Amino acid sequence: MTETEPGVALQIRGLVVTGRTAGRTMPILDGIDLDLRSGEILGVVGESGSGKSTLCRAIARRLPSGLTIEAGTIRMGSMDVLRVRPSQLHQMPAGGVRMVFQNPMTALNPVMTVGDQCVEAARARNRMSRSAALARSVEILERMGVKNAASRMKDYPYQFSGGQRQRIVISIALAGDPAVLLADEPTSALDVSTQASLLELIKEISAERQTSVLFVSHNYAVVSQLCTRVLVLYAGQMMELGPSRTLLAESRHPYTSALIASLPSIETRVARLPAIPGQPPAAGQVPDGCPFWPRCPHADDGCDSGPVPMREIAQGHSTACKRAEAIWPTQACRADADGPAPADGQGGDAKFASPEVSP
Amino acid sequence: MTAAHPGVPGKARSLGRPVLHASAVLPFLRGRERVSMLVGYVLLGIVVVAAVFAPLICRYSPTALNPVAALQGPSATHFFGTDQFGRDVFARTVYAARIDLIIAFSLVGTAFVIGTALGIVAGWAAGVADSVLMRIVDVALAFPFLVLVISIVGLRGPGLLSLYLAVSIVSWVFYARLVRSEVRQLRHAEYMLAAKASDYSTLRVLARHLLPNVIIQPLVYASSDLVYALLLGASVSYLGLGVQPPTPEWGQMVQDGSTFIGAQWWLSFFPGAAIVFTAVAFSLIGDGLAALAREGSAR
Amino acid sequence: MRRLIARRVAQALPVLVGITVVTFSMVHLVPGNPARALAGQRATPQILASIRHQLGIDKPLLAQYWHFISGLPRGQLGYSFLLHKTTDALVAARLPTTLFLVIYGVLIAITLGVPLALVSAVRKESPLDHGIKGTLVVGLGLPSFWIGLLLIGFLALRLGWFPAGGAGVGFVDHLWHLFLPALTLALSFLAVLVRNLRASLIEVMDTDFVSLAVLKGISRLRLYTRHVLRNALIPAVTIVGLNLSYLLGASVVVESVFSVDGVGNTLVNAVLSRDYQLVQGLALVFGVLVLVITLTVDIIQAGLSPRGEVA
Repeated sequence: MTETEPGVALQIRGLVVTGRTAGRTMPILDGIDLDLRSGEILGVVGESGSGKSTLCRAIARRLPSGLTIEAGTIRMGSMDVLRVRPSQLHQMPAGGVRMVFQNPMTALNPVMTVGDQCVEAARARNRMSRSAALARSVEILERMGVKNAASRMKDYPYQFSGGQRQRIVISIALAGDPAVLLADEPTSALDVSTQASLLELIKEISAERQTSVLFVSHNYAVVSQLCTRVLVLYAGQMMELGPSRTLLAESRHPYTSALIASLPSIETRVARLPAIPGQPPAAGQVPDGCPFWPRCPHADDGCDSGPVPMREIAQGHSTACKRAEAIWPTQACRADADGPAPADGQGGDAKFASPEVSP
Repeated sequence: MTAAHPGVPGKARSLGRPVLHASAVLPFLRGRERVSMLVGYVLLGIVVVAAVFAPLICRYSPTALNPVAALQGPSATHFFGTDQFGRDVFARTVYAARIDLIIAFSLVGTAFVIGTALGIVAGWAAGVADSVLMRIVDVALAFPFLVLVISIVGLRGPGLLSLYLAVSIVSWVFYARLVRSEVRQLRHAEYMLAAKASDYSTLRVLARHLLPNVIIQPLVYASSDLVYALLLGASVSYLGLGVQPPTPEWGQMVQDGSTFIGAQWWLSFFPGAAIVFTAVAFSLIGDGLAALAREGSAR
Repeated sequence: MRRLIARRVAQALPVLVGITVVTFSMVHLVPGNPARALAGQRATPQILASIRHQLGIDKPLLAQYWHFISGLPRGQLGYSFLLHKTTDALVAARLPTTLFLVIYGVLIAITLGVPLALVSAVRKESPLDHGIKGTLVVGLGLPSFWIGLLLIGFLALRLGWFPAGGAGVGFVDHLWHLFLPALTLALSFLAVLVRNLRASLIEVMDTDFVSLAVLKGISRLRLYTRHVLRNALIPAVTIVGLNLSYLLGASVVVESVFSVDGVGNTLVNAVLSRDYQLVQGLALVFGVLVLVITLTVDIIQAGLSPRGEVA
């Protein structure tokens, strides 16, 4: 396939990213297959070390030193992102990829005025005069919620709050009219209300411009509010992928259910928040077979060896769990399923109330 | 001995055991780093062996005057040529290695020992002792090191002893500062508090638990400091203030040959090249140690 | 900003006092009788007594110290018995040359070092990078006097492109005469500069804001100048500042090699000829010089960072 299907903005196949420390090479991302559709907001969830940030950086070709892309293809249109020179990727006339980063404090050049940075973004895209670029930047900034943008163009990043900086970063990202926006935990460092308004903003942008968004977070609650589909990553491997409502109500992977179960709820009171016992494996110590088996309450023979590919168990819903049918024996994922509840007592949508809780 | 070292960042360590041990001198490094450190050892080995076995290697004596053969260029008999007195430059260069190596190691050794000791005292005791030490450090650092050394040596009278005295008065400062900050970081580490709470005497606590951990950074620093000590000794001798003739020493030999630099370049060239050779050896070993310390603390 | 300056100056004062104490006590290191050393073996007791009086060493220690520091604000740094001039007159005449040399050297070092560091950082792990890193290892070990001599031998004596010594008269003449000495100074400092700058460049290139800039699709030139270099140069200024002390020390040797008439060469000659008061005065000048320059660099650094404060 040399061209992505229509309606697919980004197509990832077999992506493997490895890292080197102390002379040993270990996989950080091991076999990612994903289709990001136009205009959709896809959430990527995982604990620290799951490889979710690395996924964004691999797509943007901005991996930190020490990490290399070993294998795989990432297609946008007719172009393989991994096979072109980075400059060709970034200087594409239309579409293209932009990124929003986690830490608002380091996302902007500290020694350059905000105005200069926005103008630079606008002029890199189209030939326009400095004043035109300035006007356009002010317009976008205001639209993104940065008040009095015109008078603040000469200010330096340190003079803005975290939330405002993220809005500036989003403005800069949008100035390139990207087809794909990579959001690497953009709201994790912000307070709840700022978080909420930024999430609203992302939703609007995506709807308005048909921009696809890959939204990475460790916070399941945030992701399920914002995203239409969710991908769950663990130890660099895909665990489950499906519509966010479905995953919430009827997840078919023990890890996903455990994540959801550990979210506190306003409805129910519990003596202790159920946490997943154990720790995610360090990069070089991923066990054979399903990486989650040491911590999985449903693990059985056969879970600790052999590959665990994603397989579709319902329309648009795939899981990597070999024992999904055994653990959830009733009709797999039908919206009207009214069989006995799955073993770990998952409830409905009242699972989470406040966005600041993270698994 | 100098502020001109690429900084080796200090890291708070969570280990209770020394990270650098004899058997680990080579293993952790990756291919390229391992090779360059090995090269460093080999180069240093060459210099040390040459210095030790000088009488066996050199055909001529370093002090034998032979006016007939004066100012001859490098040849099969006189590898590095002869100087204005007909002395064999190769022999002088090889014999001089003894002096320069001794100078480099003893300067660094003294500074290391004094500095580490004082640094531990200042970092551990804190309070007044610490403030006093840091003020002394500030003042010592206010002078260009070479200026201080030259002044002190000059006032006491030139010679190796004056050089040692002058350098030891100031050089410990860099080690003290480094060790002090390491000690301060580790003082509050859990295993230190645990050891203190036990019945061990303070001295034992310091020796068994503190020392192995705080000694790593100054050791790494010392290995790159060897380069500077070598250059310092050579520079001071070049100016006529260090090793006195007829003892051959590289810096002094360069000075001797300076009047002939136009036509008979070999008098100054080879001793200087020997300095570079030895300095490269020290540098490679030092870089290797620094990489090891980084890898070790990353575990 | 003003508060910062006040604070740094206040921190520097005790160091200043320390410098005076150290330089004062230096003279008392001299073994034996300084008066006799100056006057020679055959001096009569009267001559010795009069020299002792002139040197002021017949008074108690504290009084001597007081005499020493009270003269400082008035510029009295002692007297050179051999050159028959006051120290401050000598310093006034020769310090400009030394400063010219050091600044010239730093400029050459930056001109050579920044491109090298940039190439090395951008092409990390390439054969070119390894070549540069290897050269740096050799560079760290180059004695300045050796390099200086070789440059003289080759470029001055054999090719006659530059003069073999001296400082010349007038600005242009200075540029020509002091080129080789400045180059020597630069080479002795280059390895450290490139190493540190390379590391800081690599660090900057990994940051989020550089990623943001890259994704904008701007030209490489713009990326490197406005984003990478600007942020990496702040630590570079720090490096130069930290090494100022080392540079001044190295300039002493370089001046000696090239017979440049600056304060460094004067110090060396004073030491060789036992001109104690001159040695003392010059040591003090060097100490104060380093202090002042370090202070200035600190303040410049704070000014460079838009926040006005060094993190």
